[in-house]
Amino acid sequence: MRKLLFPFFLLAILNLALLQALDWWTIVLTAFIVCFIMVPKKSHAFIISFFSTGLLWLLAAYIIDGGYTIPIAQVLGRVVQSESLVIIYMMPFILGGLMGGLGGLLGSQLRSLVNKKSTSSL
Amino acid sequence: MLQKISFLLLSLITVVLTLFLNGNISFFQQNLPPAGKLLNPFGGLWQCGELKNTAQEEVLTNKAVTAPIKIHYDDRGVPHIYAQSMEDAIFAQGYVEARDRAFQMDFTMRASSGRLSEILGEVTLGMDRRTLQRGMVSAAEKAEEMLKDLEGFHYAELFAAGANAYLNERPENTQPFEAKFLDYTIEDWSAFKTILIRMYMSEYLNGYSDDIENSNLLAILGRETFDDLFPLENPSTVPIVRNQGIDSDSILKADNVKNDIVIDTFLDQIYQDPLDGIGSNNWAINAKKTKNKRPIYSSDPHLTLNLPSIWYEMQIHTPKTSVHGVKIVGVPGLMMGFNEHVAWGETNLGHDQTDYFTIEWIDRNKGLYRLDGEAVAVEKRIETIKVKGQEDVVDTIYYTHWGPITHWSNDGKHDLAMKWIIQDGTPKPELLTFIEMMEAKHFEDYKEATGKFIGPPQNFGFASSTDTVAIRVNGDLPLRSEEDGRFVEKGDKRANAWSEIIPRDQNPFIINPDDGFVTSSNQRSADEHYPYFYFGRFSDYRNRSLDTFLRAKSDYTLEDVAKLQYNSFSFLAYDLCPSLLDFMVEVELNEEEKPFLDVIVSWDYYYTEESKAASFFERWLRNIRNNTWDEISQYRNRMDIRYPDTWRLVDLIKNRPDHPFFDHLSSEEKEDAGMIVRKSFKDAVKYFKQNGDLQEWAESKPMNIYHLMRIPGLSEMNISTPGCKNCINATTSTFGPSWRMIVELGEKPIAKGIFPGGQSGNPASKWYKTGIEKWSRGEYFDLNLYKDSKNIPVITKSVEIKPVGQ
Repeated sequence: MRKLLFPFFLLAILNLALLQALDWWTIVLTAFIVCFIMVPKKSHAFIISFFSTGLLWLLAAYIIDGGYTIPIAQVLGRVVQSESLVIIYMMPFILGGLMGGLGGLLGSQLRSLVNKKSTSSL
Repeated sequence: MLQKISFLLLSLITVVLTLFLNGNISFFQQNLPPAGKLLNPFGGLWQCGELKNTAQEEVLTNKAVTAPIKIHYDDRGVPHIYAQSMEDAIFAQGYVEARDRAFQMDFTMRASSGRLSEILGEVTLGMDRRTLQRGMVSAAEKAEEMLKDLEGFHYAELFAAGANAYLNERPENTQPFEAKFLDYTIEDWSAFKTILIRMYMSEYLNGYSDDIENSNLLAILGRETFDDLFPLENPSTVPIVRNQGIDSDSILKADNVKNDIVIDTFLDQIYQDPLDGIGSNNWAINAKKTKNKRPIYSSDPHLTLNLPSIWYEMQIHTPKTSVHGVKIVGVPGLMMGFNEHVAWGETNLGHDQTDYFTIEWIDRNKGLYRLDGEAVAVEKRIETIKVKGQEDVVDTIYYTHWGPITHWSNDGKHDLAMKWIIQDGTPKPELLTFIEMMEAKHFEDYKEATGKFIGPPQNFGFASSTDTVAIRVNGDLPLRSEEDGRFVEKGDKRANAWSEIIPRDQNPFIINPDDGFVTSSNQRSADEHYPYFYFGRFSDYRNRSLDTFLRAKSDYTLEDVAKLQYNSFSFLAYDLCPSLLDFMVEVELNEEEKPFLDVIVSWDYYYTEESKAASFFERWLRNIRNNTWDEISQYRNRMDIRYPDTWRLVDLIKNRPDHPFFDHLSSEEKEDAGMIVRKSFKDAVKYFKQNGDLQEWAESKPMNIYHLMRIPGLSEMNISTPGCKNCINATTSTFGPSWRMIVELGEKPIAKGIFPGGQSGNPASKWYKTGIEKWSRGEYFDLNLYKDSKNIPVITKSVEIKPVGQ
């Protein structure tokens, strides 16, 4: 479990720091790199990256909204004609999660490809 | 191997998805918002909110500022600017406006210059092409050339410097909500963009003309019938100016050729669909007609209601003035407002200032046209329209002696060039008008300031604390021979167009009349004695209501004036209904129909929210129109036409019920007005029976205030408010009083004002639509001049702008 939690939090902290200055798609790269380095199992890589990135985006959106006179989720809800704030907050969660998850999955895939190559070359 | 393929495939999917969510690629030519960018809480939409606890005091420096400026926002988000000079105040205007309305400024500038497609894609391409075809950009360039050598241009530059002081210094991730959605960055402001906005207002308020419709109708109906249905003057109108004494020796004679018109139909061409509903009221009451013996001024411009609102409100203090008012974004100064001495506001002028001329081509390639017997080459200007997600579109605009060719015909024989007064305005330091009005103290100041105004021509209402009330038409008016500009004219002679402008001191003008009040509501500005040919599109009923109500009382209070601005009485219904009911005496109604007639019989002619009579009357009148003008509407799908004014229909119903146009084309029997009225009544009943029962007025015609991009979620829909197009509270489903201001002048002005929107253009701001609810109920905010900022009751935010080095 600890093996899973470490990359989960590492990814969240890295994303939190990097996204202050870098573009959103950095999440794909960070998940890719973290999972390439430390998550051998592909399903784990996807799940860790998905939830780490998705939850970060969800929590950030929710916390940022708390400081506003009118929550952005409410305004966005009006634009997409949704009365449910849950659905609105699910949007960054799913999108962030998906793109992070794909990055993580790719990182893990590359890891096993590289490992396989080095094993077979021995 | 399989693992490698799977890796490569997944990589490809991830890259494509990333590019798609970043807005770099699109599918099926759909410009979808870049969801990745938008939903990133660290840089996307979640950075657009308004913090609950903003820093109370911000300080910045700028080299364009000469002395420290203080800006305090009150509890409605209205900035109060304290500056040591008008120059610094205008800098601050630009700053606060960019801070609150950056997207609106940019969007309006784009609409003015054919650049909407750059951010919205193909959907606005037609609009952009039309804007460019009407020569808006070249007219702005010409105006800039003229204005930059005149006094006052530096205000446009200072305004731009102020706007850019905000736009350049904020972090990239604080782009406006809409700009993020559309995935673009707001551009810097410039003095040229201010001029573009001025062009846009001219286009919006005066860019229409009935020349093509009139020519078509003249050809179809013949002169006699045309004159009968479309008389130049409505005898019932109360003109703004009556008995204006103009020295007969000073009257200029128009030297353009009379009646060189094209009597021809412009068949198979649907050229234009002009806006309907624009209009405004203003009035000023002398002290003798008010309870407190202090003059009262009132202004309510009726324009398309949008979010963000067309108006931006502010208060400015300099050593020379303390002034409060509203302005259109992007233009320095205040357009309507009051200071300690005067109050002012405008209503639009219906007088025609746009003429069309046919072009007689000499060569097949349309490079040469005939003018005074010579072959003249058109000037071609290439305009490139950037279209989001697509290749650029290149358009060639053809310029003639008259102006740009705006209408291309299928047969090549009816190509029309447009001469528009805004394209050849006389050199005047126009940018000073709304700056000097802020500092005006007396009537002479008002005359001086408004004398510089070129256009779009307006009825400038005025009242001073010294009890002067006045209205003067300000703006360049073409000097026309009789009928000139009413129809499409032949473009082969220079002498066919106006060449001179009416001297400003001979524009319609009224001051302190015996009646004790002046008023304008888009009716004719001049009466039949005015020495110059004066015609156009005028409003016919609000002026009669206003004239009646203003005469009826001699002890007006500010509260009375507020009620009058919100008044929903229809003079049209009052004028017409008794005649309609006379026609109904002869008819036997069934049990289903009787209640509908009862509703009208007991009606007080007020368009209140609950009125069912108003809903029925509108439908009834619409049916009468359709059943009467069938001879004209049969051409509707083939060419541009217009219908006779409502006042003319009412006049015919009342005085000439046997007019041949009441005879319905499709029936064998010969109808008269009575038969049309009765048939229309029964049709209206049938309509309501088939479409649910008779609804209350507010329910049957709710008002919508759309966001500039017509996004329903950012708009305010289904607003319930009284009024109608012909009421003093002139409302339609998308138009209405865009600003209501009432001012009692005296030692200290007492003023109230409101607009249906809010100060902030940010949909996530609590000030996005602050005023709508109160506005819909006819309520106001108090407008107090706070010469000392310590007296502002609530300060929500302060900004200090210092000169460099202080």
